[in-house]
Amino acid sequence: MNTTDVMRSIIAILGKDVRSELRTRYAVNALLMFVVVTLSVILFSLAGETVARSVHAGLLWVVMFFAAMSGLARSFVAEEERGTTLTLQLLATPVSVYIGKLLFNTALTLLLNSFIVLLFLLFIPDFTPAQPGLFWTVVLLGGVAVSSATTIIAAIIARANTKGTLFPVLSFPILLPLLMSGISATKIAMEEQAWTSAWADLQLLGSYIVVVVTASILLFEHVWKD
Amino acid sequence: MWWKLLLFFWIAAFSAIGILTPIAGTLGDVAMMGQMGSAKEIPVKFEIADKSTAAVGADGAAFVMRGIDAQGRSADFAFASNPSDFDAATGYIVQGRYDAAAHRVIVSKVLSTNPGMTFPFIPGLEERAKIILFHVPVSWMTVIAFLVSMWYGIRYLRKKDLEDDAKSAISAGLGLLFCILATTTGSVWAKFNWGSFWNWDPRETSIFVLLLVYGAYFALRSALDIEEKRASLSAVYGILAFVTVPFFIFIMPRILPGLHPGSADDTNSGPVVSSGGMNATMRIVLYSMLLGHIVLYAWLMRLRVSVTRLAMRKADGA
Amino acid sequence: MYEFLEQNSIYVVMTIVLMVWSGVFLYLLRIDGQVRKLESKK
Repeated sequence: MNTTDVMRSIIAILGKDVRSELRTRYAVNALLMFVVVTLSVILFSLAGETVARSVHAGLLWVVMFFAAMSGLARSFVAEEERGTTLTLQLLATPVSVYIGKLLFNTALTLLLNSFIVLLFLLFIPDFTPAQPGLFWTVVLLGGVAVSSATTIIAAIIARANTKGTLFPVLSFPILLPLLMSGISATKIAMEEQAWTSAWADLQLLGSYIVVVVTASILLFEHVWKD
Repeated sequence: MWWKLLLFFWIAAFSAIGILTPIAGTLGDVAMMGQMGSAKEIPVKFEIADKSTAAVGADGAAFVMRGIDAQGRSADFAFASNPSDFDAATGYIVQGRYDAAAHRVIVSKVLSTNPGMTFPFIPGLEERAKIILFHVPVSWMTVIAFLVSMWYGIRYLRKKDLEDDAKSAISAGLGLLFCILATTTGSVWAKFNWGSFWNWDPRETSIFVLLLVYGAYFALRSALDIEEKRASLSAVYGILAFVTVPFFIFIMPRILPGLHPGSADDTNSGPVVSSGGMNATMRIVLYSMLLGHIVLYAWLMRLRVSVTRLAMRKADGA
Repeated sequence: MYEFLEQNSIYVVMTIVLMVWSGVFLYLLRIDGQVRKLESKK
């Protein structure tokens, strides 16, 4: 297969996932409701109390992490449930399957993270990032990082017997470096600190994405083919 | 056979040396304790500079001798009375505190005469500094076992030999054992040195993450029934964890402020192994213990691998 | 107990050595169990 074929099959897989998602709206509906429920739990427990801005940064990442955990395994588990894994294995190369799923998961995560941030901005009164530019950069870059790490883990657990429960267990240690730098960069964005103090965290997020995607492309074949 | 005996005596001997070697400071240490306003007495090691000048001091009460410490500095040491073994002595380890006005060390107790090897005195750690000889080798084995596990994981993915997968899992099991030991020993020690069992110091975080990785690895293995599937998926997970987790073990503890030596805000001891805090004796004992633990790991690994190989052969034959 | 260990910190170090050896012993017990199972399963 040459590059254009790979590109075409990536786009085909992405298109297929988007279309089946738009048809059922399973993931989007369930995930948006999940976010609403989680946020209302947070609002109940805060109950009008003012919380430090750094705590808000932590809360935001907790919601983003668990939303990702409940939604991102879907793309591969659904293939197993529908019994379409074999067809995909026959029709597309592992690399194009991986990249197609990665793009779909990234789009889903970015949508989800933006929705979560919008709800935070609307419903938590003192949730006001001092540096909106940096804040959105961190949230979006963090979203890409989360989806890049979880895509291959989703592929792993889709082949295991206990699909749902293992996903957060396997993802958490892998995601921790990115969660920690994401939280610390968000804290910097919430407060009026120098933009440059978040630079190390942003670099770390960037290199994390590169490392994980490279490793996943090399390893995906072994997960995908029996 | 012989190397297993050697291993036993090696580890036993260096453990004994590690525990029995006395901690002793220099004149710099005792002077620093005095400057910090601490009334605490610390052990000081010195050589008698000139025996003939040792005599009852000008104040009439104390027996004073001039001593030179390991760094070549000298000061007077005031004993309450003439020590009984003075004739045979060339040096002492004494317990004492520094009197800056008279530039002398006031000795309250003789700890040992003609001392041999000593470990350096580190303020706030004292005898507890010896944990480095037992806790650090175990922590290193955690990482080495992880490395070996990943190495056999890669080999499995290349050659699809189930024995490589078994080795990978066994190494991960040993890594989990060492990881639990490193966590619990560190935690017990932290209770006495830092006041609580767990402080979320960056290095504590890193060992915790490693513990989670090992836990997740075995959770994944137990969720997979088919051997080939289990082998390749757990190998992939091991490699994936290995490319992301070193950040915790090697980078984060050094760039973040913390309680362990070698943290970013550590000004007094620095990276303990490479400079500062340790002397040659302590370094030799530490490296010997490290070597001993590596051989111990290799032995346990070999033992388990041959048992597993037998089990696999038996399962094939049946 | 706690005061004793606090004042004689060499015993803290010895407790740690003991813990390490208990861990290695437990591991040997596991191998022992494995061998025994292998032997009984003819």
